[in-house]
Amino acid sequence: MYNFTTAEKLLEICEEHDFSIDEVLLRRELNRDPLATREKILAELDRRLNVLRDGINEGLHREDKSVGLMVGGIAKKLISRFKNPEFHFFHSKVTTKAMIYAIATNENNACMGKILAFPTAGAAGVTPGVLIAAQEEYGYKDDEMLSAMLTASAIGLIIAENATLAGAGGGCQAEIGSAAAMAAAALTQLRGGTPEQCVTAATLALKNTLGLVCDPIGGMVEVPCVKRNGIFSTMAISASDLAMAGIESFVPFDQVVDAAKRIGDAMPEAHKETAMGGLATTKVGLEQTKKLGIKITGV
Amino acid sequence: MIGPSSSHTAGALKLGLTSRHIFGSQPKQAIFNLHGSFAQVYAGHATDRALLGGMLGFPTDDPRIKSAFDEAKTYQLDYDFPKINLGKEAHANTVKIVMTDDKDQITVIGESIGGGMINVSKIDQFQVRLPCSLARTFILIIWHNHAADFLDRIQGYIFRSGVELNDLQTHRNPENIDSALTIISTLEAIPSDIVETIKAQPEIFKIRVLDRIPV
Repeated sequence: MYNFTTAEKLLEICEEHDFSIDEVLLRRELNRDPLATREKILAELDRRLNVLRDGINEGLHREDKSVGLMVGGIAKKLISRFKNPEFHFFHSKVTTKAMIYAIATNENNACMGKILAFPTAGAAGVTPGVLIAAQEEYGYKDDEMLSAMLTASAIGLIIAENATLAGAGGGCQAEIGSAAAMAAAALTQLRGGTPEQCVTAATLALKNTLGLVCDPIGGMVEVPCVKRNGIFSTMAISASDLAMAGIESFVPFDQVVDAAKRIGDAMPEAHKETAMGGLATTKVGLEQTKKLGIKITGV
Repeated sequence: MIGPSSSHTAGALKLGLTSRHIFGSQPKQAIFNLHGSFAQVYAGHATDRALLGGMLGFPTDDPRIKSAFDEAKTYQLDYDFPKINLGKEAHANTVKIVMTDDKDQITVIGESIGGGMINVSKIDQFQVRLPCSLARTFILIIWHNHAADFLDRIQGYIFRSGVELNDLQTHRNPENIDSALTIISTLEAIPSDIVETIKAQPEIFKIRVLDRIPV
């Protein structure tokens, strides 16, 4: 009875029972699996929250280069800038932190460190970046963080159900777009937003990433993925700000997801994680691919 | 999970792991035929190491994935990663895994559909639908000869054990209408004595029990 595959249905259930989004998702899980309990689900989420924190921490301290030698040490450099009183980021403290933490997570990922796919590994930085930075700066409690993670998951679930989360399936809009939408909704819930405002924040974030292709150099999750996670975490915060300020999306969430699906289907194969177009086939991209001994031949 | 890609690393591992469970044990040899994006960018995503890691039974967050080639040597698993073109209809992240040991050979085709989710679409000659949400349940995979009352009999045994059926699918071999593959999913484990009774049915020539594999 708590099942949903669209945001419209999700908001309907929230309205009917006066539930938050996370409560609906939790009850949906309990209904689906007779062996599940609320305690077990929350304990697993808590374990995952710690994976997020550890991933950021590892990423901030890493000095090694990634598998494809294109990233490594970016987060470490940024956090030392952040701590330097002589250097000023234009963003607020929380937004700057979110950006750095998102990059830290993805750099850790590119070095084959442990992360949580959120919803994918390539886009794993955005949501932890935004959520952990928000907690550190605003003191949200851990149980509020777990609820926010569930809200993010509900958004990801709707996108997975009606479009795709894979770069190979729908380009980067499917990955970073979903991640930004999930982060925007989760942050909006942390800030005390209504279920409608959470969905609005997700809508604005996803709408803003439509059309983004997946063209990483050598097909590796490094360039442009790592920095893109950082920059899109700030976009997720913008989307949440707009939603909290009472701005609505002209196009509802489900229709934006449908647009993402249609755009993904129409996207050329060269721009769907095949390393056969875009940044991957720039001069420097091809040089790096050759240097690494990766052969992109087509099949 | 261990990075760098949920579809090309974690998903690949789960395809390896699920295939291992369908084979029933570690095979002597596993040939991973890579299609589409898998064939293009597998090296940079450690798709090869992840597939091997799964075939060796590792979970998605096992640091040994990084050294899976060495681990494969330790566990005496032969492997290869040829490229294959399964046609335009196939998902971009598809792998055809052929597992062999002295007694048996099983072929599994599966897709990694994003966010670490997978789907098994073919077992040997049979088109199946085995998404990871189903693989996480208690599963019986039965290779059997087609007989009119076979499914009724099996369902009867399960019904009497009090365990509720979650999903039941039977697929016929298009090249041999006598042979069939049945997949039964239940949310709780079927008691072992009932499983033994099912195993003893004369139509069955191969059966695998997948007990909520972590995919």
